[in-house]
Amino acid sequence: MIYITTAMHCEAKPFIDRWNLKKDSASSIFRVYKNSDRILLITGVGVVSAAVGATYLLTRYPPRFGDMFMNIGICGAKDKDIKKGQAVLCHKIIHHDTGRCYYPDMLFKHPFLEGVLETFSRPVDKALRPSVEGDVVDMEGAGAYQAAERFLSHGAIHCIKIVSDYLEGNKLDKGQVTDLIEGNVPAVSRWISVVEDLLPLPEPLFTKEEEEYLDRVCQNLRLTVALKHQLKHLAGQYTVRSQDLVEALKPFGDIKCTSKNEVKRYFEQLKGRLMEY
Amino acid sequence: MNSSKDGLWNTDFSHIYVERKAADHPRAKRILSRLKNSRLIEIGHYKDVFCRSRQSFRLQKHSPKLILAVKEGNLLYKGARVCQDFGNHHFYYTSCVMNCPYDCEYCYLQGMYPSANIVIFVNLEDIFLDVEKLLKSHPVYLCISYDTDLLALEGITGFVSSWLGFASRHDSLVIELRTKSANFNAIKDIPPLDNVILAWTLSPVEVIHDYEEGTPSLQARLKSIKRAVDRGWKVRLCFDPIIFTRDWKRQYGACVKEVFEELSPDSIHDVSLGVFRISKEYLKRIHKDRPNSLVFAYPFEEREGVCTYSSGHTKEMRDFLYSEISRYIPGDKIYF
Ligand code: SF4
Repeated sequence: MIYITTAMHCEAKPFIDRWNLKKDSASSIFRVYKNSDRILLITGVGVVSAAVGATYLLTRYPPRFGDMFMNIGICGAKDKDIKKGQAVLCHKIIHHDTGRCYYPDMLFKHPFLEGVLETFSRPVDKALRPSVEGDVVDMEGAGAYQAAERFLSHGAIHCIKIVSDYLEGNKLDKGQVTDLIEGNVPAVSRWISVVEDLLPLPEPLFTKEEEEYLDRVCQNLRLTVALKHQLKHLAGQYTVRSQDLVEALKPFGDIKCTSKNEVKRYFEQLKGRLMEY
Repeated sequence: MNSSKDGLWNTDFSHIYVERKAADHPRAKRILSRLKNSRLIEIGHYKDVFCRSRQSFRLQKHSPKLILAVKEGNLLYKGARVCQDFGNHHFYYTSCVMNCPYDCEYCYLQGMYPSANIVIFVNLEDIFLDVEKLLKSHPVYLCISYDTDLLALEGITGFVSSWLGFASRHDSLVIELRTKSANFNAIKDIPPLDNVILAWTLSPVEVIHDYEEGTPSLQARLKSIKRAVDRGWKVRLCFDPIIFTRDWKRQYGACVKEVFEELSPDSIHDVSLGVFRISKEYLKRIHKDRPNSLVFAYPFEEREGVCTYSSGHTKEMRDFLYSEISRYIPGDKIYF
């Protein structure tokens, strides 16, 4: 699953259209749009909104290993060398107010410009401009990152910002914002697909049959949570060694323990069997 | 294990994180001049990147980054219990580099460090000062390539040459440089030193192929060793860790034979043997990260916080290797 947050609907619209995302009516607090493998949430403007929105998204729709989170939106650039409409993949995100920095792992090749993003709590105008350390500035990136790093590893969190202005206080209308994002949707979308393919999926240790057999044995032997955990660990190692787990479990399949002593005895026997190498 | 996806990952060291206080250090500048295509990212402290929580060691190994930092606080450590001291009382190690460019499946570093990125401490001179302080009270036996492979990184760091220069000025210091690399070339012009031991870790071809991703072949390592002994260096052979496989006896038997067909036993300073062992805590972390690893699917036995093979397997493997090696090397030169 790919998780996306944007601050405004006009930033999200090109992605909603591209991926044919449908509004999730189950979410009443934030506007959420999704299909089977993409989910997008509109957080509202500002660093706190970005953090709250990302937290809501990743809590309500919990990610798994191999999923990716991305914060996308427009930004201002300090330097006019960076063209309007240019997408910047951020390799460092500074939260201006706290001075805290975030570092997405730059593991994947990409077609974007790279730079440092600085997130401010209020719009950066000419007066604030001298205090800018980053190459580009926004009002969400650091908040979204701080929330997402609670859920995902740093190689699976990214921030792409599209340059809309040069911090001179000019306001863009919604249509102009959508156009700027729209121009980058093909490249961003292609890159997301590449990364999605590279992020490893969890490899299940057990087949369905093995899983069922294990559950049955745990239940019949009346194993405690700790013993169950130990058994699953040993069973996992047993299968990795290409040994036939179901065959090893079979003698214990129909045993039903009625006392603590029995549990202990049969568990030790089973453990011994699974430790054979 | 090249795949069509390899070209989609950034190259190793595509990005270098540089601590502000390290940036102007001459060694940092030298390292950066050797990696001109890397992007630099300024950081406050190396721990801001290296010690973040929720890093994926496995993912990062696809494209590890460098971190240039200044080491503060303790720079020398007393040798750990799981390490061989070769009869030396004052046994220390130092980590001027944390993490390794290779990716051995059994490597304990993946349980020890939160990150696969490589930290290079550029202020080697501070470590030298600490060693000199110790040398005032007693001789020192110092392992300089634990928790990394310094010779493999020599083209980037030049640290081995610096250490050899330091060793040449301190007779009561003995240095062990452990490596799996085939990079003797990097120090070929330095005259051999009596107080330096170049220690090569050797494994059967099958173990190298299956479990030592990115490392040079056995033949390449042996070629490097041959050049080192021909040049007059003291060389230690380390069959450590010995890895249990279903076919370990044949694999290690063939390995020992190949090694001594290639190298003259008289030219070898000594040999070290050790079966695979790892701290319980590291093992727990690694299990989580690589549940499908065959190396870690062994039902280990734990003794005082250290996990290793069953005492039966341990004895069998150690005895076998000892008897094979003692055909070539006298018993008092084999440590285990
Ligand atoms: S060479 Fe040693 S330190 Fe490097 S990855 Fe292999 S086991 Fe780890």
